[in-house]
Amino acid sequence: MKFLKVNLSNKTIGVEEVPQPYLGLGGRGLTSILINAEVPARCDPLGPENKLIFAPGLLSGTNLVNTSRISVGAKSPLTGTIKESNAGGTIAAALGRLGITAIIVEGQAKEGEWFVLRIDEKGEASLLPAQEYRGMRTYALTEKLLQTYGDKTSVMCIGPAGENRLKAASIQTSDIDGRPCRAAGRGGLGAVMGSKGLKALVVDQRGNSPDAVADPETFKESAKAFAKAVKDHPFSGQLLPNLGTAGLVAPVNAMGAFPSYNATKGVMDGWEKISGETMAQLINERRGNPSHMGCAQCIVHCSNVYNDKDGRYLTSSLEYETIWAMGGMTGIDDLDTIARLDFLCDDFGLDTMSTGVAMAVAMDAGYKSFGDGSAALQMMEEIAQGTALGMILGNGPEAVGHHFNHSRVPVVKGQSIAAYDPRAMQGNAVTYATSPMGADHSAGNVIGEYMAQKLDPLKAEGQVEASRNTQIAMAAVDCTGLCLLASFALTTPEGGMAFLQAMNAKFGTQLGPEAIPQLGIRVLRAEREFNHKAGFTNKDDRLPEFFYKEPLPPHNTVVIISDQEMDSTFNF
Amino acid sequence: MKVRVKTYGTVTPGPAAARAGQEIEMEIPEGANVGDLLAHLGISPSRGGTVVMNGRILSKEGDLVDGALVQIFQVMHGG
Repeated sequence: MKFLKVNLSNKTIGVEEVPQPYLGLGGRGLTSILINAEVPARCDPLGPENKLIFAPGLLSGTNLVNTSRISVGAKSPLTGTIKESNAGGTIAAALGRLGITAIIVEGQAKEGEWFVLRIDEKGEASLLPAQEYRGMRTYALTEKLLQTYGDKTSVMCIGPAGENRLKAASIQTSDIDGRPCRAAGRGGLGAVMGSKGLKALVVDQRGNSPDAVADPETFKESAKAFAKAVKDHPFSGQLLPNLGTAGLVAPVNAMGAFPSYNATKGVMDGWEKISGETMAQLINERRGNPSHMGCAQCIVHCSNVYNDKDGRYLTSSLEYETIWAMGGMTGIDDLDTIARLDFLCDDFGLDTMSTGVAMAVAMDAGYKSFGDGSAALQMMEEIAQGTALGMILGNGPEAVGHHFNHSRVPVVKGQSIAAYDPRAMQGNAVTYATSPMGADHSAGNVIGEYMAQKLDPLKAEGQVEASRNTQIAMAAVDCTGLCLLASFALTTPEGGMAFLQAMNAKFGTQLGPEAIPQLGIRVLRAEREFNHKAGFTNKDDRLPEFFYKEPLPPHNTVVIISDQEMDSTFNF
Repeated sequence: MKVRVKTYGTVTPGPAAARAGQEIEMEIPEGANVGDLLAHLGISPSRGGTVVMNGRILSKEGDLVDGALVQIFQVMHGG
């Protein structure tokens, strides 16, 4: 249990025991509570006062399945709010095996100075000059770093977008195969990493100094039971290994909630061409891998390797939200083009969602036509070249809206919505509006409630409660290192009990089921408090006007959750 | 009456129907509801719990409309 404190202003690295206020915290809980306590809320997100925190989950590095999620936290340059952006890959497990609770990056290197932070298998950290890597894209950079430090290395890095401090810049991290295709995409945290002068973080995966497990026997048994629950769950055990998250394209279109053509329609014409079913078939035909293991400890295998028509690697992993942003929102119904755009985003170090929606806003404003794949690739090239328009696109949809004087910009607190239109899924309207992160797909997505017929997506009744409960649950899950996609096993009695037992066995605690929502509430309170100090009020918990006024076909509904109801979301 | 049925994801109809993903037309008794259709197709609620017609999710008791397209999914979550 140690903090690694790295100061880029004076190039020092300090190691300290986790201070008392942060004991028992991991992942998002740690990043958010620490940022709320230590980062001046009104600071410049790209200045030296901001802190960039990398925190593996509480269970990362253990043998519990699907626990290799890392939380990256900072004040966001995109939203101005607190931000936690979450990624898979291998680095969370690697840090957990070294007993590192968090890496806290402070200060700021001089303009033009670049560093790599390396942590070896003994947990020794060093800051190494990285001038030679300046300007490198993430695939070439990761290949070079793996050559230098060996295959058993996890990489977390930025591309040119992060170096240029673009507000849609991601932090990319390496998967099992050493490809930098997993992303802490949201909130522009790549720009924060760039502002610090940190080009990459490399961590040896062979560490063997994890924090002790209090009751190893019980932990082993609970881990086995939890793995069974994940495998037995129809979503994580059947659908995801076959179609990945892209399996959502079909039902969300069927429900009329797939924001298409910059959220002017709820069903995309020809969506079958970009569905998960079509993608899986193409991947099989081209000898890719539709059931790829992307992350350490993963037994779900929702990842995929998507090849081009000649069987050559095009990208990994093509996900639902990317297919929507680069396909539905832009009207591009060609999976190969979408896959290419996905690869380019990963390679430049850009969030696929913010970038796709930025292009869609430009198209809606008349700059290019919907459905024009060449135009989308050309816009990516503008971003890569760093042209004036490219900088605007790379700063996300709001920047594009300002540039074109176009008001149909589907963002909340500056961050784009996700692949569920709030007019056809009213609970997600609540989550988009009220999440401390800005609009977000993993902060409290209630689609499962609709598909399980617990709630009518078009009616106001029950939506605030559903959003509240899901936001609390997700805030807690994000503390543990558990992958969201495996977390639905927690909703079964066997899975829920096994996971709680594993937590107690790991930490020597006697937590009951109520501890999970209590943790989520604590995290959300800290995040709300930070945002309040940063100047945000309830008036910021609103969707853009067009979602309240412009009916979405085919249901022709608008958002019907009142301001008063929105404001009751966090009445705990 | 007749309905058109299409299954998605890993929802696999029983021997009464064609393979998953292929649209099939089926003759069902007048007044048959969603639950009757799923039973006829041999799809258990845990495998195909979400039935959509005309953009709306139907309950097991939901009425089917002659000639309509019925889409069957398993319950999914956001990702």
